[in-house]
Order: sequence, then C-alpha cells, then structure tokens
Amino acid sequence: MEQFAQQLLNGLMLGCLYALIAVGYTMVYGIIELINFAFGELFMFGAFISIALMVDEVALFGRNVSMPGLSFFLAVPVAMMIVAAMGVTIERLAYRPLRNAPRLAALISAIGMSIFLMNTAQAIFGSKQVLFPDVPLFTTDDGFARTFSVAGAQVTYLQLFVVAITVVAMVLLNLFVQRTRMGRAMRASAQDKQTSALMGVNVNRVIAITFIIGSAMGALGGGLYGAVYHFARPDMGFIPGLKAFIAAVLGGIGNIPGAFLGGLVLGLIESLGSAYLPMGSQYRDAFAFVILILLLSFKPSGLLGSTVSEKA
Amino acid sequence: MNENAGTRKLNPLAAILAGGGPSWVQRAILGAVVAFALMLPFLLQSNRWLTLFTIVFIYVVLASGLNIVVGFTGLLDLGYVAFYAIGGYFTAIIMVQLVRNRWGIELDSVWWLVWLNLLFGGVVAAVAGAVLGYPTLRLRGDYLAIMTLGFHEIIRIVANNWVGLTRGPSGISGIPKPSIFGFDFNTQFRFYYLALGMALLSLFVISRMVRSRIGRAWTAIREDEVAAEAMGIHTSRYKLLAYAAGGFFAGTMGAFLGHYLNFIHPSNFKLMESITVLSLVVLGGMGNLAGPAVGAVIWMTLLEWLRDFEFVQSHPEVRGILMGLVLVTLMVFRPKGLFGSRRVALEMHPAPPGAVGKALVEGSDVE
Amino acid sequence: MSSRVETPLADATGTARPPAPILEIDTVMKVFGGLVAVNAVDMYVNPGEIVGLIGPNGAGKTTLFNVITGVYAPTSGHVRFEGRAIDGARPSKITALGIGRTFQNIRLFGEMTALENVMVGRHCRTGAGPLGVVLRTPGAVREERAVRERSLELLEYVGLGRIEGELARNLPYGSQRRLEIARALATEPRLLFLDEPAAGMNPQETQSLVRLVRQIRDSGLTIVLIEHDMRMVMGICDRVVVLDHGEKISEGTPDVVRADPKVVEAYLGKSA
Repeated sequence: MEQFAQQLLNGLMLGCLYALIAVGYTMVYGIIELINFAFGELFMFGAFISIALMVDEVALFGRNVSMPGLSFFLAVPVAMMIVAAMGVTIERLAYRPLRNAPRLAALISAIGMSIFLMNTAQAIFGSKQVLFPDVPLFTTDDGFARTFSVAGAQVTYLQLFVVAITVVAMVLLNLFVQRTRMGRAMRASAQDKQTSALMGVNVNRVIAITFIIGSAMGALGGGLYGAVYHFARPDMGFIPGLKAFIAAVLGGIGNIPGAFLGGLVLGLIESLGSAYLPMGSQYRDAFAFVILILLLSFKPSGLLGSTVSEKA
Repeated sequence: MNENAGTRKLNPLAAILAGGGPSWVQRAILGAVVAFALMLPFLLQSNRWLTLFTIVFIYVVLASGLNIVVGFTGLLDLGYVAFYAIGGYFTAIIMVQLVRNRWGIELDSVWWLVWLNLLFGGVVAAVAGAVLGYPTLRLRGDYLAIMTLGFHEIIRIVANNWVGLTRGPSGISGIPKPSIFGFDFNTQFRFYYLALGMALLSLFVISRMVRSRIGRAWTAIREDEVAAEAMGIHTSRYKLLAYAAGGFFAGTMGAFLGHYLNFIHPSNFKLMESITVLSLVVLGGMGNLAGPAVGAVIWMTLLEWLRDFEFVQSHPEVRGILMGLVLVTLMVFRPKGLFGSRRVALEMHPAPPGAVGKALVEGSDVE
Repeated sequence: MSSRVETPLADATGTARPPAPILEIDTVMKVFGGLVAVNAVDMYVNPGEIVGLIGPNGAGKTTLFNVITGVYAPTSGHVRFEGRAIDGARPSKITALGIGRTFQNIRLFGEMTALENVMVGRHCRTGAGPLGVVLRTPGAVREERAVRERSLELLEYVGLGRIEGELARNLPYGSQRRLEIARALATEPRLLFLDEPAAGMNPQETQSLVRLVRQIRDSGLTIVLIEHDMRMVMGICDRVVVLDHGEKISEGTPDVVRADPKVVEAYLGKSA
C-alpha cells in the first residue's frame, strides 16, 4: 500500500511537469493550429538556464564563465523570462511567416526549430549531463531530500512544491484566460482568428502573448524537472515534449484545464504502469504513444474536448 | 487518331502523370547521371568515397519511397524509418537468430536466403505499412503525423527492449554479406555497385508506379481528397497502397543495410533518422520523381563530407544545427525545395477558421 | 448483386407505364448537430430527364447532392439508384455504380493538367494494379492508351481540345467548369449531377453550356442540375424541384413551379 501511495505521488508530480509543458502546446494549437515541437526544447533550456544562474561558474561553449549564483527561487523566474523571450522570437522568425502557408510547411519548420535548439544547447552546454545544484530548502546539507510522511509514503518537500506551484500556475492561467481582456481575446482568436481580427483583436499580439506564457510555463517545468531529477541534458526535452503534446490531446486540444488533466493522467499512468506492469519500467516511454494511438483511433477529441460534428 | 498528338504538346513534367515517358532531354540527363555513377569507383579510387556513396544510394531509395507517401499522396509520415527497421530486423532475426542460432545451419550454405530476405523484408515492411497506416486514415495533417511518430517510437522501444527477439541494445551481429553462386560481395567496390543497382531498380519501379493510374490516384488524393473519392478513387485503399509501397522500399533498404554492416542496432533507427529522410524529401522537392533523389545526394554527401572535419568530429551538434536551420529557412523562403516544380504541393488544406478539433475529422469542407 | 427493380412496361390492363425512376429519394433527412439541413425530402428522377433543383441559398440543395453522392450518410431515409439502395455507400462506390458529379466550388486537381484531370475520371472504369503497371503488361499498356484517347475525346467534346497540357489551376474560370464536366463524364455516369455549372458565366458562356448539357442528355444520360440562373433552369429542365430551408416546397414543370406562390415567397420573401 505504501508503494502504491508512493507511486501515486510520483505520478502526480510527473504529471504536473507534463502539464506545465502541455499547457503551452494546447494554447498554441488552439490559436494557430501548430504543434510547436520546440516547446520540449524550451523546457530543456529552462532547466539549463536555471542551472547556469544558480551556480557560480558554468561552462559555456567550452569556456568557463562566472555566474551570479542566484537562489533557486530567483533563478527559475529569471530563466522563465529568458525562455519566454526565446519563445516569442522563435514564433516571429519561424512560424509567423508561415501563418498562411500549408500546414506541412509550418510543421516542418517547427521540427527544424526543435532540432536547431537541441543542438544549439549541446553546443553551448556540452553533450553530457550537467548537474542541477541542490536547493537548501529541499535538501539537507548531506544531500538528502527533506521529506515528511503522509499515509505511509515519503513526500519530499520538492514534490509538494512542484504540485503546489503547478496548481497555482494553472489557477492563475485559467483566471487570466477567463477574466481578463487579453484572455478573452485569446479565446476569441482560438475560435475564429479572422473574425477576431475584424473585431479589432490584435491577433499577432495575442499569439505573441500565448507563446510567452507557454514558453514560460515550459521553462518552469524545466527548472522543476532539473531540481527533481538533479540534471539537465540537451536531449532531455524531446521525448517529454512529445509526451506533453500527447497529454494535451488527451485532455482535449485547445482546452487548458484539459491539458492539466491530461498531464496528470499521463503522469499517473506512466508511474503506476512502470511500477506494476510486467517489464513496465522498460516500456515506460511507450505508454504515452500507445495512449496516443488509442486516443486518435477512438476519441480524438480527448477527455474534455467536445465531439465535433461533420460540418461547421 | 494519332495517339502521340496529345502528348507531343505537353510539357515534360505534365507527361509524368499522363503516362507518357520521360522526354528525350530527361532521358539524356538520366543516362549521363547513370553513366557517371557507373564510372565513379574508377574515378575515385578511395574506399572512403565508395562507402559514402553506398550510404547515399540507400538514402536515395529511402527518400524516394517516402516521397510516395508524403510527396505524391500528401500523407505526412514522420515515422518512416520504422519500416527501415522492420526490414533490417526481419533479415537479422531470420538469418542470425533463427537459421544460425536456433537451427544451427551454416549461413554460407543459404546464400540465396539473403536475396529472398531483401525482397521479403520489403514485403513484410509493406504489410506493416498498410497495418500501421490504417488507423491514420481518418486523421488529417498534424494528427496523422503525430500518430506515425507514435508508431515509430513504439517500434523502436520494442526493438530496444524485447531482448529475446531483437537482442535489445546489443543489436544483432553476424549478418552475412550477400553472395551469389560463390561471388561474394565482400569489398566496398562490389557493395557500391550492388547499392547502385538496387537504387536504380527501385527508382525504376517507383517511376512506373507513379506514371500510371496509381500515381494519378495518389496525386488526386493529395490535391483534393473529396474530389478524388467522388471521381471513383477508393481513397482509403490507395492511401494504404501508398503506405505499403513506401514501406516496401524502406524495408528492402533496411535488409540491405543489415547485410552491408553485418549488424543491426536500434540506434540505426532513431526518430532523428525519420526526420532526416523527411528533410531529404523536402530539400530536394516533393511530389516529383527526381527531387528527393537529388536532395538525398546533395544533403547526405554534405553531411558525410562534413564528418571529415576535425571540428565537426568533436562538435557533432554542428550537423544538427545546420539541419535545423536548413529546414526552417527552406520552409520560410522556398518550401517547394531545390528542385520542386510548380507541380509540387506542400499540400495539407488548412482547416477552416474556428476549427480546433475539426482537424481530427476527415475532410468535411464540402458545403 | 443487383437489386434492380423489374417493372414491366405495361401493366395487366395493357396500359403503358413509365419506366422506373433512375433515382428515388425517400424521406431523406440530414442533421448536423443542431442544424436540420435536409428535412424529409422525397424526390424522384426519371431516366433521360433533366431535373432542376432550385431554392434560395442555404436551402440544402448541395447538402442533398452530397447525401446522394455519398459524401454524407443520411441521418435517416433512403436513396435508391436504378432500384438499388445506395444510402451509406462510400462516394467512390456510388460513382462506380454510375453517378457522376461536379462541385459548386470547382474542385479540380490544380497541380494536374487538364488531360490528367480527365484521366483521373477514368479511374473507376480501369483496373491495372501495381504489378501490371510496373511490368507494363500488354493489358495495362492497352488500358492506359485507351484512357488517354478517351480523355482527349472528352476534352474535345466539352470544347477544351487545345489545352490538354495546361495546369488546371491556370485555366480560365469557364474552362475550369467545362473541365469538371469532362472529368465527371469520364467516370461514365448514367446520372450526372451538376452543381451550379453556370455560376459566374456570362450569357454567351451560359448558352454554350446549355447546348452542352442538352447534348449530354441526348447522348443517353439523366441530369440533375442545381442552378440559380432561372432562365437556364426554365429553359432546359423537364421538371423542377424546389427546396427551402431543407424542405421540398414545390415540384413540377417549370411553368407550374414558376407560378407557385410558395416558390415566389421563398425567393422574394413574404412581402412580395
């Protein structure tokens, strides 16, 4: 029973990490119908930049550069801002010119951007794993995670923090989308870009804001992931990025609470599946893809999406 | 009526789908290229270059096979290399795991099996193509792409973990070199010609298929699936045929790779490979016969040549950066690729406004 | 397996009866989510007729076409072609059975030439498979040659004999409409649906089209025509069916329909 609770907790936390990236995918897809493959890489950059800001010295392009050595709680928000700027730049350069092009072109551009970012990160930070510094609040001086017990399972402070932060972020985002003017503009653009533009919505600005938010959330996920698993690596974002997209589809693409739900469900399935299914841990990565295939075959609208009729 | 009257006036590209053969200009160019390729080993007396071009020929076939699916039929397949893997593992499992290990038969004595496997590796991959293609029939654009990617990853993960069948991360070694009636393909020189022969044969077959009612059906599906169906084309069947045809060539090349390297390993079939092959098609120009082959020659030659540089050896990410930049730049400035003609279509109808989720349902933009 | 209804041409009393309808539409409904696009429409078409299907925009005419040709399955009701139920069949099957069509918004294969477009139409009347095509068997070669010849003939027939090598998307509008008709004819239909074939045409082009449509009917086909050009409809159609808001509101010869107050009201509104 304790093991179950433990796995449940792990799954929840993993799910939160997926949810943070998934939200970006779902928002962007909702408005411009593009699968921004690069979100996985922005997640990865979030982790790396957080590390870079937290240490005293980091190796960039092979050379040692001194760094401010910020606290985790400062480094991650700064990383989020930097990655948000990256995200909006990417949109401007690689996606906006293709706004009216056939979808295949935009998709290939997104894939190209993803490859470019992954390899650039490797050029900057090297191909090996980089260690994520311990955070004093979450880790004791000996390097052990601080924990407390709940229902027989050991919950680390960090796990609790991840879940809490994700919930807060989701709630804030939902409020933003539902209650603010810009949020309304985003929802309108997701429904019908052309008409929104005719109604005076600055669609370009809406899309830029969407990328800023999505990228920032992804970077947050990256910083948290790095803290949890203690490392960052240039290729760490590719597969989680794909899984996050699958989570977004699972929840219903274009649906923000859906992305959160999808992320949680995926995280739980992965965690429990790898613990309890035979050979589960080896085939762990395959769960997401199997879910994807089942989903697209039987209920492409996802858990919270509406079934679409044939004709608009 | 003079049956040539119609084709005489057509421009050479128009003749492709109308069943006409290549114009004499095209034949001449083709002849020159083939002659050059045949003479190349004598011009470049180095194993290094022969190896490079053998690999290039493999990618020429892969790109051309993918072109059937992506370029002609308009189905964005991001997981094409899965079929490459299936062909490779097919021959490896049969020859090493089954024939040599399980049945204890000397591989030299079954030299003919190699050639059968080249063929059947393709057939098995073709069947897999149709099977995996089936769930994608109802999907459009991005979702089709992601599903193919999902299948690719599943196959790769299985290959990496089902140790009993595929020996997992160790890969399968000991795959024999091909030989025919005692003539062994054991030098780079001989492999070059074998690869060249297979490439020419594959391109020939693909060309015949495209310049026929089948090619017309594929192109019609790409251009307007609803209209194609209304004109009597069973679109599902022809999409499956496209997947099968594409899969066949990938499978054949996969088997060839196994016998060339004597070794099959999951790392040959990473997702990045699929994207690389797609890049070749996009770079060269989709939807025509020459484009992907040319794209493969140019790009793979460039990539392999870059490997000569010490800087690139210690910084392998340079190739990735280059590829990413090329893809983005290409899409923004010249989506039809280097040799795409006006006839190319990076065709995926954009969904009508306000159609989130509608993209998932088969085309219904008919009023 | 054909379920052709055999109707004797004379009944027991010796009175001649008309041949069975080539198309019967039986209480067909098509509902999309909340929208009832076609509401219990009954209709029939006799062999050799030219039937006009008219009605204000949004009346459901094209939707009805789409239901008959298999693009949509009817929500309820039946469609019978030559006595055989075709509701729910896929469009390619229905085309193979003998129904051809053009589209309201011209759906040609833009990157293919005029000739290739028409050759696509021959697809369901040919059968070469991958093996035949790759090996260039004599049968496949013969078939391909026949396809090309027939396609060139059809281009001539609709007046496009000189431009077979042009890409479809480069053709002028009027030529594109004709090309669509040639392509539909290539499928060897017995029943041809034309969806607003005269849209956007000037009077000369329309006259030319009228001649072509008559020629097609005289060659043995039955035609159903959606059109807004009333002069064309009244001039060429044997019978007219009127839809409004998804329902059939009138039916009969052009004169009858023209005088029907319900039809006038539908087009001009109650105040007229």
